[in-house]
Amino acid sequence: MKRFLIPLVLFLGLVIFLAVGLSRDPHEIPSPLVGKPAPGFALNTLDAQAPLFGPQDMKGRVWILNVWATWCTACRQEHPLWVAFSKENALPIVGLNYKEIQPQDEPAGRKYASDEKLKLARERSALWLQRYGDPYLLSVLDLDGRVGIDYGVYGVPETYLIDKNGVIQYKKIGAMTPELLQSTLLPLVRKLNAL
Amino acid sequence: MGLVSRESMLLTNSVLLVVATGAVLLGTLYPLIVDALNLGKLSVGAPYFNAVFVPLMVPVVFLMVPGSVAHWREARWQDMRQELRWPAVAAVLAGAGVWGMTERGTVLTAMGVALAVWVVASLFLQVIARLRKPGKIPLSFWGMHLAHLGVAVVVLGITLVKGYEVERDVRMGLNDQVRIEGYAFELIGISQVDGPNYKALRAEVRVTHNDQPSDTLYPEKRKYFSSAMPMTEAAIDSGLFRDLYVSLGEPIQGPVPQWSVRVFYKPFVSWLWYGAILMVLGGLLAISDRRYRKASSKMA
Amino acid sequence: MIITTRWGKSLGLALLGLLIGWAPLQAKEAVPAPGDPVIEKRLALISEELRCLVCQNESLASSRAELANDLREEVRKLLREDQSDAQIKAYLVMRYGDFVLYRPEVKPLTWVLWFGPFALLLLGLLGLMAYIRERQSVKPAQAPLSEEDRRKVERILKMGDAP
Repeated sequence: MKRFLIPLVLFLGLVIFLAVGLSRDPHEIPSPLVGKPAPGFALNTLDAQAPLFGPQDMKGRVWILNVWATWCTACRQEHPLWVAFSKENALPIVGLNYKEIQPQDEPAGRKYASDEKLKLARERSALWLQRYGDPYLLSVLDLDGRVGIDYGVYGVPETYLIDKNGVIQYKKIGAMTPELLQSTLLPLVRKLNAL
Repeated sequence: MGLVSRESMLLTNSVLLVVATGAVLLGTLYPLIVDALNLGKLSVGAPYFNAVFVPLMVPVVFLMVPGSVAHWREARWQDMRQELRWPAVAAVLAGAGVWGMTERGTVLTAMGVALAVWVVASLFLQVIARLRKPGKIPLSFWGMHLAHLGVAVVVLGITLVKGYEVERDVRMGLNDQVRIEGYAFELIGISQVDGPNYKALRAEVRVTHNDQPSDTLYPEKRKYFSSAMPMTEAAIDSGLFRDLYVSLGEPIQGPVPQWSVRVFYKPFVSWLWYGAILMVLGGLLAISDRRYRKASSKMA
Repeated sequence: MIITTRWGKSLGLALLGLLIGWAPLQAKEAVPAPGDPVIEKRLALISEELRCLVCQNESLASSRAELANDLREEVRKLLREDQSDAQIKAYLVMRYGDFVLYRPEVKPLTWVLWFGPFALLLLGLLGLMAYIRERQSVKPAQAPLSEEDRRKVERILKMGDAP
């Protein structure tokens, strides 16, 4: 009987680890950027008259960076949450429109010139926000996805919470939920605002 | 039991096999355990398994040969030397030949081929020697050598496919050709196809071997209605000595319609399967040897 | 003027037909995906060791997801800047975490992973040596074989080589 004791204990240990593993989401990867300064950028906004915008423009304020796109169906699901949030809270939300123009949007036979792409992206995003509501202070356009790579974006929608010193304090991969908003995000916002 | 004996070699191989199996289990479970303990998410992939499993298995395959030749209880070098000489010579020659004479032969490829030849040459000589002797040959003898042959076939398959596989990533327009090792792949046509729960872009690729018609492959890029991600259905032509594999990519923007296509030539990859089948058959033969079953019933 | 005659039209059609028919007779060699072969070779080796974050069961080399295309392009850019393999991996780990490496880094967290198998091997071989030594010290029985045992031994030896 004693021979079976050690393998049995090892097996039970394994079962416990597997059970814990089942409760985890394999698609969620913790971001190494939490606790680090938000990577800088200077991108065009939806407003053709406005200057380029970057995270340095938000220094001194606690703010949210929300990665979205009109082609992203999950973004449309989380969008009403942000629209409602923006009405009830003074917390600024900056939108990062990610790779709005996809390869299949390009006309057959040629590629868009960069100013053509920018114009089309602005039109499509503006229409979409008109239709579904605009919670954003402003939206910047990351047309080629380079800023997305700097922020470790791999699946829109993604949301970052950035503090007054420009340090990323929280990242959510996937659509934001009301529960997470109440339980994690809002308390953290209050804490950071008090600092 | 002598320090060098059949028993000690069998036991050494058992230790190595258990450690190798444990290493695979460890590598598989490690990310799960680290994640469950909230220590982060890491990935353990092919580079780890290659680095750990291969050095453990090389001595196993090597020892299979002296192990099958050594006497029980006490093995003497003088007895074994005779039986190991020709397999050693054959293995070294084969390895040197692969390294020196083939364009892409590396040290690892040479070693893999040498190991396989070491095993096959030895079992061949042992079978011939045994057939010359009088007396009934027990099934376990055939089982052992068949299983060892299977191991050699698997090692050869892995070595040759890793050493000589070719992948070409190209843009193909209609009637464009890709040539690999005497095979020519020509894109004949592209069509839209409707499946029961998907829509697909299907390519027709005609394959010729040394200008003789061989096969036609139909790789597809499917868009299932239930998912946003397109799925690639690669077309595979499996053969005794090679597998051909064509994968259709995205259409490319440009003046002439073109598609990104990946073509693979994988020599001897099916040998991994054939070798495994031989190992299973060898094991079954060995188990069915009545002497083992009689002995256990005596003990019971 | 020549083209308008019937003779001219036939010749024109014949030439046109030849030009169209010529194309399949001259199957063109497909153009490899553009790029510096040295860079592409390095890219192939590095991307085999990186994991695609979208298609998580594929390496960055084989995945055709959009993010994979973007990341390969990013790695190409870094390769053109003469960055080393270690620098490129560090660049990606800084943004995506350890998850993106298929070859885990050797650090305290992974010591058990990398050294465990060889520690186990050492233990196993030492244990084996101890076992063999112990068996060596057991003296074989000195009593001579009985008649019955002798006959049994002869029968076994006649049956052929022991497995």
